[in-house]
Amino acid sequence: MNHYETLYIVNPELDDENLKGVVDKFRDLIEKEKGVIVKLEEWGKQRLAYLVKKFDHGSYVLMDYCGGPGITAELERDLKLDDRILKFQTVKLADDVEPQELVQREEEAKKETAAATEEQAQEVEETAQEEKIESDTSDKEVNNGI
Amino acid sequence: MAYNRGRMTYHRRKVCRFCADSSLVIDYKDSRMLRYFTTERGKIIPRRISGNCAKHQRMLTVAIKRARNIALLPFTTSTIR
Repeated sequence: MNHYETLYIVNPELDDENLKGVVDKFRDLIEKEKGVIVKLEEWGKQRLAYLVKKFDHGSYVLMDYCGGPGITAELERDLKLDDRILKFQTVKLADDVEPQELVQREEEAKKETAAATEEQAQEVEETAQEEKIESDTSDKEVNNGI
Repeated sequence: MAYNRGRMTYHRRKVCRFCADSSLVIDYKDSRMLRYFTTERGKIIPRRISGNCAKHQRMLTVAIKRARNIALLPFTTSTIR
């Protein structure tokens, strides 16, 4: 199986429910074509660098998957026909990969980032507390001045 | 950026930042990093200015072109945005 990655832009005017429908549709398509989804990311609404079909914003969706050589042709045809999709791009990341391995690696990476963000959150809290103390003291000084 | 003005010649040894730091990965989805290697008008900064090595400059241009294709980076910003 080959490892592919497709990034597509969905019409920004769709509500959350319809957007989810679009994402699910293409995920199901991959599964129907006997592919394996490695990663599915929604980046949310972002500003486009230039107008695409008269839109200056778009909802980006990143789909990372494994499949046989015919899978991209199938997917891209459907992306082209769907008028909710503004633009898409597929990149082949690797040949002959073991999909289960990639899925496992992805899960491990997810755990790591979750732990890292937790640490960061703690750090932010600590610095916020320190700042609070500092501002308290400065308030006192001002009072003394008056 | 350091330009040579008149007779004043000034050379700074430029090192490819991707060779210097192997943790940096060139990825077309990382538009903020790629923006660093483009001018305000969206042109790719040449190797002689940025100091990248040939291998990484090649990877970078491919990444920038991919990012342009999917509207993460502009082809040009001559139009008002």
